[in-house]
Amino acid sequence: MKRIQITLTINLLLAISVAASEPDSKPGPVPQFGNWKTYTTKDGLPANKIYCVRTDGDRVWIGTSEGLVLYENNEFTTFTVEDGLAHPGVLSIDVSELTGDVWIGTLGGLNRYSGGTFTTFTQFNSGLANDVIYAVICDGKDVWAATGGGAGHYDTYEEKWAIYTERNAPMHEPWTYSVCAGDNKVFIAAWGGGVIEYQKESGNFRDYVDPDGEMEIDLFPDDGIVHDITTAVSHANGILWVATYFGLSRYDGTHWKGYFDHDSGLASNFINFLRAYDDVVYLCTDEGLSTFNGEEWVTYRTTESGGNRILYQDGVASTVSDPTGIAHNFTIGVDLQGDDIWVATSYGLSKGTRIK
Amino acid sequence: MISRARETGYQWFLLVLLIAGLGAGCSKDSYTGKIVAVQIPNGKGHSLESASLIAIDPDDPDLAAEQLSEEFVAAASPSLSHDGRYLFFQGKKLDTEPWQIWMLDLHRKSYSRITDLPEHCTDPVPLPDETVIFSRESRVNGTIVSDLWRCGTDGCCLTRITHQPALNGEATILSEGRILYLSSQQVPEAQDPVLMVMRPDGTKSEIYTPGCCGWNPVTGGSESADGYIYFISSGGRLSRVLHRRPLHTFENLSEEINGLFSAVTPLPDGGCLVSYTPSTGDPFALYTFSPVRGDTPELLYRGNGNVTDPLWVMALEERPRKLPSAVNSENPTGLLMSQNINHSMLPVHPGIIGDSVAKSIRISYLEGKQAILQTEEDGSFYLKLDADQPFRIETLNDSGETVRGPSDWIYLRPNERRACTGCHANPELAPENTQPMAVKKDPLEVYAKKENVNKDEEGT
Amino acid sequence: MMIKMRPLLVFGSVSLLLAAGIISGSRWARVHVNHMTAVDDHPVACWRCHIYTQRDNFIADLMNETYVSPFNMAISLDGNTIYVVGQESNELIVVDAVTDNIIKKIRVGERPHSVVLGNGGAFAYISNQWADNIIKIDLQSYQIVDTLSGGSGPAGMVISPDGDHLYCVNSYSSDISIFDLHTLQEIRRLKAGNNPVSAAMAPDGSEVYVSSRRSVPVPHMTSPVTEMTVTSTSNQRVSDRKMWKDAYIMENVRITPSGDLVLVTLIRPKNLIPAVQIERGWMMTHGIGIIERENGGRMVQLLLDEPNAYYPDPFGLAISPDGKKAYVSHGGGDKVTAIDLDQIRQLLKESSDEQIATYANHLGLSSRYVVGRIPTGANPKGMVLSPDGSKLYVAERLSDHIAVIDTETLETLKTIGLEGPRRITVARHGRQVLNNASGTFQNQYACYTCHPDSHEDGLVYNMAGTDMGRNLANVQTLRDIGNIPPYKWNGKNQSIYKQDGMRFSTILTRTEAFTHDELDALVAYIITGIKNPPNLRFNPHGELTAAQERGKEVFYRTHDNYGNEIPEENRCYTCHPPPYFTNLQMTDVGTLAESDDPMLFDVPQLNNVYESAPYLHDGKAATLEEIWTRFNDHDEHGVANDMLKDELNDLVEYLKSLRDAKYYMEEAEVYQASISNKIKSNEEDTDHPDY
Repeated sequence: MKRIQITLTINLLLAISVAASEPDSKPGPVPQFGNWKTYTTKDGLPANKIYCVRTDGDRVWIGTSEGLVLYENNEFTTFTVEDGLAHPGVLSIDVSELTGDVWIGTLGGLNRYSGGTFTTFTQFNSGLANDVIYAVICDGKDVWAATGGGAGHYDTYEEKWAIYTERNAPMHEPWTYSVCAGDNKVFIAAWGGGVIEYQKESGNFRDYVDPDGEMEIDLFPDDGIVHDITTAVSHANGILWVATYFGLSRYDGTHWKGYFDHDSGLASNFINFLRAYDDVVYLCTDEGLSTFNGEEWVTYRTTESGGNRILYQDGVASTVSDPTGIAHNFTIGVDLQGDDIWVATSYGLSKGTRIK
Repeated sequence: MISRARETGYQWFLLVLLIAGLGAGCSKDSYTGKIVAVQIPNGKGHSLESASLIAIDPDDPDLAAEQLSEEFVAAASPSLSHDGRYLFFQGKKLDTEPWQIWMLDLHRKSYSRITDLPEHCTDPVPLPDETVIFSRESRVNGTIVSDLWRCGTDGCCLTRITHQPALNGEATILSEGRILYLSSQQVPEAQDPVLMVMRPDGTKSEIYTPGCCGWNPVTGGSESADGYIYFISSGGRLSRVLHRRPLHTFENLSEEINGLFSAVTPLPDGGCLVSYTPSTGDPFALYTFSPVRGDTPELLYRGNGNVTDPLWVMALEERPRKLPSAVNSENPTGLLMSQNINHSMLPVHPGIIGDSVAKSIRISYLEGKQAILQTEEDGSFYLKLDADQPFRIETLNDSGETVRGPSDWIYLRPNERRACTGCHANPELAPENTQPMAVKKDPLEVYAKKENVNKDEEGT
Repeated sequence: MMIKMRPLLVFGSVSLLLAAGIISGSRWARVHVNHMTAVDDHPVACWRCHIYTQRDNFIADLMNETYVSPFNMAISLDGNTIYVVGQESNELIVVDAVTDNIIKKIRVGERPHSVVLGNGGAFAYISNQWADNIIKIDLQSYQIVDTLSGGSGPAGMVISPDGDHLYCVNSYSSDISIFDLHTLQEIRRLKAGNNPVSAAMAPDGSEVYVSSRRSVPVPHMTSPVTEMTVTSTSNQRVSDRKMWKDAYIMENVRITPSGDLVLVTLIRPKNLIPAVQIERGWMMTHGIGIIERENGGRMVQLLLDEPNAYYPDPFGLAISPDGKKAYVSHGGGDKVTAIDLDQIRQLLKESSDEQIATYANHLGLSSRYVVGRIPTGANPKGMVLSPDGSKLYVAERLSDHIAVIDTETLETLKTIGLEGPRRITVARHGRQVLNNASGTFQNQYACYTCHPDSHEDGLVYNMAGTDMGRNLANVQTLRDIGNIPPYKWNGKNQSIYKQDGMRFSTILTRTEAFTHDELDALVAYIITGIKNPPNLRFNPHGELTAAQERGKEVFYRTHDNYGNEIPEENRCYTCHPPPYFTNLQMTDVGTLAESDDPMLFDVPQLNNVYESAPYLHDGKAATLEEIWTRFNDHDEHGVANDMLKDELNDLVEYLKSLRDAKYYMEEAEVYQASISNKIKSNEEDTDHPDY
């Protein structure tokens, strides 16, 4: 009897913890996209290597290896260094909700594009930490940049930079790769340093590192972030999503959950970028675009005859062929625009339309 | 107790003092409000060799004119110091001597000789710093020219301030401090006179107005209180321009008036005092004229012969500015810069075959020496040249053909730095705000006095 | 006999001694005055230099007055009341335009800039430029009822036609605060141009145009470009940044009632050209900018100057209700220009783009559209028109009067006194001299033109002191310079008298030098009357932030990050000690350019250095950072190459916190005493455990 009681108690506890790690409520469905159209240099893009994409109402901002592009009214307009762009390699773009200013992270500095004019911030002319800007976000009046020399926080009202490196933040080196904001916090993906959390009110930091240390396998599942080589972070609906080169992590503020290509619908553990909207996270991997709402996966891959939509849920996968597909499976950036999705790949920009 | 003799002496002394004081007081202001003019007797036409200076009371013009130059066989070209006290003129006491510059203290009625030079010295104009500018005759390659010179009112510190081979004279001073003068180029060929303006040290000499419509200035200009410059242009026309914009505000005030004008001086009330004749047969007399009404001039004074060059004796409310001088005689060179030689109003040379874009300039001196220098990519040049040496500039294309020019004669005073937007560019255009490429380097040195002055190598 | 001789001998000896003393004293005084003024005919009168220049003591109190200095104005809808900002008296003055009486003087904040009327004229909003706030005044009770806070240096303002929003231009933080007038909260802040000052609302309320004074950052030795920021009111975002080439100091912007034209005052400097002459607009030209809103937003610049006459420092701008006339006040020329806008419309209509491109430099064109020049009192600034357009009210800032001009006859009808002090003090006279262009040839520019607000204009000039193209000079501020001789970057002028004396007239103003009285007055004003604005942006209360404190440590460090001792001559505080952060010496910091003659440079002061970009003697450092990131390869301008970026950032934060010298008097003493004994060890903590 006692044994039964103990077993029941343990099972109950396990059930509670499992239940706790599961989303509280049913997530919204993962939208599916098709009718893909690809844009390359033949269509007016300055280059086929597309690093990032960001939508702003009717406009789509595209970062390429040869300049910044604006897609508006079915036309591409390219901006180069001659127009004031800091560097032709545009790695990240964000648009301020407050002001409409476009912030552009390049390989050679940070730009603000506003009212048709570029302003350039470099490590030489400002307090910017480093000119290699992997990511930039706008958070109210603040701009955060993840750079090769630390994370930078720019207060646009005070015109003041604060930079965070291993000297004043829990990173073991200053190479930061991504940044996002949510829940009154800022999360910085530090290459080899996991995720650094900055609490806006107190100005305090903490970090989230892989408890398995530098092991490439996830020794103990769901014990923390799956790996310290983090490449992207995104926060939506109270969930922090963390991309690494070795899988995906999900954090609800209390519990971590890891996802890998061998046990989920994740296209590949090598995740370049992610972006979360509501319940759904969009993951750019080296083997296709995966989308996930915590329960179901939809992955897009291009094939010789078009593309595939791979649906995965509860261990069961199915493939839907599509006459069209994304430009290339090495995906680097993604954003939504109403019912459309834009995907930046290493060979072209793709636009998909939601399948209703 | 002082003696009676001593007391009497004191009384005489006080009396003498009183008389002297009264006398001094009386001698002041005796000419203020009067008109000084030049009178040429009947039968002498317009020759100044018999001219004399007279003073007229405009309130009583029928009163006989007072002779101011009795000691002189001839006196002319009067001009007044800004305080209305000193009258400067050209005079000669002997028929055989050349004109010289004299000064008459109107208060004391005493004369001082200012120049004693072998050449004719004419057309004096006093400056507020107790110097005077005048015209002095000379020759260039056998051609008679006249240059402007400047010296103290005691005759010291004589300096030549213009160097172009022209007939320069009839200088006046503007309230802003620059000098207006009449200039007629004589070498290589005679040209119609124009009004030029320059700083009192001879720097920054440039065209002021060429007149208009085929009528060129024939006298110097006089500035009115309301900002006009009055002068006579060819054909005896009474003319004026607005000092604010002299090149494009020419007015022929005598369009509706028969007769001829020979001189004008503006009056404080906005009117003018003119030397005028209603018909060519009659002598010139003094009239008043209102530019506003434009009516026929009203007779003020008729003398015995031609009466001209009137002056209203008065102290100016504000004296002309004393402009500082950048001239330094210890530096025998000047600097010249042009922003872009292709920026020009002149037409392209009609004979040109090649490109009309100029890439070099040719500097030519009076003696025939020349130098050719390349300009920078942006068309600019920056030169160091001999001071006080007149030269002309032509712009040349790649083939060495003249694109434009030659220009008028230019000269730089010692230590003068001068800049232009182009070559005969629109003088009403301010420069573009760009740093010419030429000034990023040292200036090209061009010296007329050096041997071997073909400077192709030096210019490249 | 002997008894009678003694008093004579004593008297004689004393007299001789006295005479000798007076003679040698006056000889010494002559030598002293000659040295200080660099001329030999300046009157030897001790009080001219030593009394007129007294500051912050009872003599100064006796010598000086507080004037009204009317600046900007607003007029009631019925035209019966004028609201005048008293910039120096810190007042809003309510004037009855019918009786010319002053109804009320209301104390407002520090250095008020502009006033706008809201709520149908029931309230006035006044921007206090040196207090970083806007106050709202009830115009019934004349009480301050609210205070709004936004950016730094609030200046020009407009209210949306629906009365819901106030747009305030922040001149020091270079942005635009948008306030919700129901909650009086700032809801948005948009980046503007550099040092914006004025705003205008399109008549349909769709756009706000904001003009700026200083150039946006441009490559070194390129012509200034000044931004006009256009904000769409529908989404409250910047919709356009119009760049005005070759122009700056765009003091005021206005829009015609029909909305077809945007007008802005501007100056076109010729700072890149060797300053070898003034004739033909060679130094400065002045005019207006026009945007043809209905012609694709074509931007045109037209001059108000003429070939031999200049109208400097255009400031106020007013447009008649019928949109046919515009009026521009010229602070440096004591004039108002009346412009026929229909003539301008016609000119623009008939001109090609190629022709338009030449108009910006055309001195002869103004005769086409200028219909009158009206003389005013000293330093005319803001203007307003009566609602029917028949009267133009002009603030005569340095006369403490409002001129009333009949717009039909273009003649001054009368002036309204603002009850300022009757006497003109020496310093006030000096301020008039500084603001008036009569001291330059053809009135082309005033001291104020290159030193707006007695500061500096952010430009580098090709002063051509010897050869052309050499020795470029970054304009320096005139604020609080009385105690920091020598002057000029090359330190050749031992006094301000010499700086503004004879040589100044020969190579810069190119006209008659100031009279002795004018020069004494000018110097008195420069020394006593020009104050630093408070550094509310970076150091409002004297308490440094953590970054500024760290930066201060960097500033005062004696050892580098490797523990090596920094030579004393290369420590920041050696050349830049408090209170003025200059040691008044000449030095070489490795910044000599190829275009410079070999020379040492006078160490500049650092008070309020945050607002003095660009930096270094030739302005090649666009920001403070660049002084060390680009122009200090060999650690000649302080040891900085060992620093990490965050350390440099901290140093810059500290420098930005520096404010008026009066706050550093104590610090000067303390650090002078302590520095010589302080030794920082290699083991000093270089970590910054701030997390």
